[in-house]
Amino acid sequence: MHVFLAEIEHRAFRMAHFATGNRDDALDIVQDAMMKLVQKYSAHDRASWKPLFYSILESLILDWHRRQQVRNRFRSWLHWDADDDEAEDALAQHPDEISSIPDFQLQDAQFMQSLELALQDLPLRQQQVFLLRIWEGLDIRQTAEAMNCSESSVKTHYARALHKLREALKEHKI
Amino acid sequence: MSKSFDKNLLEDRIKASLDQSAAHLDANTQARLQAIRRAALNQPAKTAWLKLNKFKLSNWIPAAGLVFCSVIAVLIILPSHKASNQSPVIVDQTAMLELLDNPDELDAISDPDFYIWIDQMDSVNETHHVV
Repeated sequence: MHVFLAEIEHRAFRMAHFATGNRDDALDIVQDAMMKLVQKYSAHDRASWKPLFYSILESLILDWHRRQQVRNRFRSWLHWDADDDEAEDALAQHPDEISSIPDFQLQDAQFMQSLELALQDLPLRQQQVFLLRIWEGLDIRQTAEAMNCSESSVKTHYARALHKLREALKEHKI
Repeated sequence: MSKSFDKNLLEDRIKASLDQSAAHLDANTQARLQAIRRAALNQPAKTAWLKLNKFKLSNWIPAAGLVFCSVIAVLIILPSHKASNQSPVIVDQTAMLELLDNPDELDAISDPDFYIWIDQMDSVNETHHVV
């Protein structure tokens, strides 16, 4: 279990970070996902850990978004000033890496920055499906299980996500 | 063919960039992730116990609530039900026993005029009810 968690923790954190735009919330989500996996499924077959972990992670991300929606609703009722809120802007949080890196890495850094913004602009389900498929290498069935949706839904989300990313990244001439 | 090639190229480029970003997390985040992992791995025994308790609680709380409500309902409903259902024959018998128990009243019971008087009183009461 230790090796498995060490293998996936960075990617899991990045996924949660893409979904929430907040580092601390992303870390909390990863922590809860790891805790639940160890508590409930450590006795399961190792091959099942990955889809189970991502199923837990995706469900926690969804919960986070629901809580945020409720919070935003209350905020709009109470007319809270956005400046007073501690919610972090994804763009502002993102470190200015470009100015501090050598020229030969500039293109990659610019691409990464555009990619992060494009991923954050995707609807949550499309973002999750895309990352699980392309990054974690889950197949369509595993992704559908992790996302608790149908396989055809996974295909649709993936195709739409890829189309939007291609549009967003076309200036990089891939 | 070209579209599929483009698609694969885009996917490969995105995957490579994501891998790179995950591999270069800042030291603070890496340290926190390690701490989270250690904390997660060091808690199975405790959770197994908690889980057992949780299982017991989740089963017993509704059952205990149901029993409590039933007892309260029985305590409230039963006495009033008993009172309302008390037979008039039992009430009469109790009154008779009370009369027999009192020696002063025994003379009245043995006097036939007493019963005539009771009949008269009953008929008077009935006419009052009818009016």
